[in-house]
Amino acid sequence: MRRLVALALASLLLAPGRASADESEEARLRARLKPELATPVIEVVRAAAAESLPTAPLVARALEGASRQAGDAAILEAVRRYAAGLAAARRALGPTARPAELDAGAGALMAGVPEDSLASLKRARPAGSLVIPLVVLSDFVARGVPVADASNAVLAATRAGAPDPALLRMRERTHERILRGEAPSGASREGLRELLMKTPGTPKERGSREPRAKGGP
Amino acid sequence: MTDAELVTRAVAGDVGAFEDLVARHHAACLRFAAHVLGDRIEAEDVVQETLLRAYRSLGTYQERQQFRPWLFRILVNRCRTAAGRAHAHRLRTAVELTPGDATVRDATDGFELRSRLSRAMAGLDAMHREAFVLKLGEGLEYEEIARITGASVPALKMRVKRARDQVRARWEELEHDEQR
Amino acid sequence: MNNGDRWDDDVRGAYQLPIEGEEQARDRAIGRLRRESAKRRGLGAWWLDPDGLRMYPALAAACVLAVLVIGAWGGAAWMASRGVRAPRPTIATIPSGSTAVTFVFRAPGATRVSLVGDFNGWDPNATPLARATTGEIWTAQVPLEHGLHAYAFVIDGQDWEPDPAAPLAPVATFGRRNSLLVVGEDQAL
Repeated sequence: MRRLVALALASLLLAPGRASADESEEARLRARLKPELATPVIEVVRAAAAESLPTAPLVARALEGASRQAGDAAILEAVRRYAAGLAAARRALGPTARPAELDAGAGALMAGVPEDSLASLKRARPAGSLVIPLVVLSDFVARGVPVADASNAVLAATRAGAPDPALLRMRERTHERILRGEAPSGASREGLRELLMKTPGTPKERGSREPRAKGGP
Repeated sequence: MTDAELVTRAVAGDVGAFEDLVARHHAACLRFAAHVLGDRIEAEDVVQETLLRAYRSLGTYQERQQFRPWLFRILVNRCRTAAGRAHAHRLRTAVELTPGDATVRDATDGFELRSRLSRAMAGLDAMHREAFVLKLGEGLEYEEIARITGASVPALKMRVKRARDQVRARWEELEHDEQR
Repeated sequence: MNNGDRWDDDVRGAYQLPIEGEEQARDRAIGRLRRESAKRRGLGAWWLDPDGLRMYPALAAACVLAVLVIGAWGGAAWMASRGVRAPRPTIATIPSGSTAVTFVFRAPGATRVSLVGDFNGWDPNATPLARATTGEIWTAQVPLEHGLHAYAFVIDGQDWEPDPAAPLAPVATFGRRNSLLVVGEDQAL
């Protein structure tokens, strides 16, 4: 009974339409997963909903696992880890973080990026969305850039006020360099240097400006 | 087959002929762009744009012209556009021309010299870089450089002299530092 | 030979050294030119903008080129592609709160390609791509809600491939990494 109340309250806190999405999410899970797997997965999803965490990524992981014909234990573990990642992302990014930011943040945290790095990103861009910076950070880590270098690059770029298209371009250029055989850490440093050179008004000395609000050129 | 013959075939629709031209001239284009822009990655972008434009405007190429200067004229313009995209004068370093760990030092390695060249050129603006590279790097005659860049021969001579003095001074400083 | 001449020679020598990776760069340039000439011959790739398109030889072997285009409707999107731009979809057919995204995937020799992702429950049968005239390019247009989506392509029902041009998900949850797509993020809002 208490869980139902918590679920109902959680539904009210979530975006409109979430209450029905919970049911359809559970229905999809039951349709695709064996009962002995669906039940514990739904438990995790409900617990996340009770915490006002986004549940769609958890459902997606479970369905992905099913489609990839992963074992039940692997699927359940993946969903649990992701739920933990979402919770940690919310600690780091704050209660106003959007679902997509939490999703992206969870991925980064699970790849070894420390919570501090996410918190620093939030301070660097307090108002605008962090989805793109987090996606770029995740991509760097996925391609072998050491976590510290990846975090530094994305944080420095964000602090310099680089808009999202510039961050994405930095990602592409870094990827190109890695494909050409450069070491990932060097490639990310060069990608950052290139971005900073092209970002107007970038200070040459560290910390001489406040982070810019989003909406810059 | 001469460049002019390849162009004739390319204009007639033989893409392979244009690819042969690319094979002949790509290295020189990339070298030029890399030194003028100080960035190998951006240089590759610019060279691709140049080749595309050249391909599209093959109809304007005249047989009495040499192909490489015609191509370089397009390349120089593309490099100027790329350099103009920078918001501020930037100090370019050797790291951008040398991949991997730029701190590897081997006195016998010719690439060390190029690293020094690139750093010595770092203080030049685009106009002086262009002139310096075309004269001292590519070894072209002033008249040819004038046709490629659109500048007058006297102006080019002045730019080359200034660039040479500046680069040489910096080169010798760097050489002195390295030997310490 | 005086000092000046010798220095000039040093400079010339340093300048003439080959640029590392020049051959691969040349191959990429030729690849791009081939695309341009294919476009000029009107071979099916009418949506390709050659100014943005690149080919990597390493990836040519893997035979994948995927591009995402995110329409800028509602002032809420960005172009997240390696440069191949698809035409914008008509706005009337897009449910509000979502954006039509065109997926383009190059898989020579494939008999079928489908799209799997968060948005279709990772069901390999849900979103097949259609083959374009050249036979190598496969496309699908999918309305996607704003937000973050993980996805991949499935070739011939068995080969799951990420999008080589897109950001990678940082964790290979089930052994293979997925690609990430962001729809509708516009910080001006």
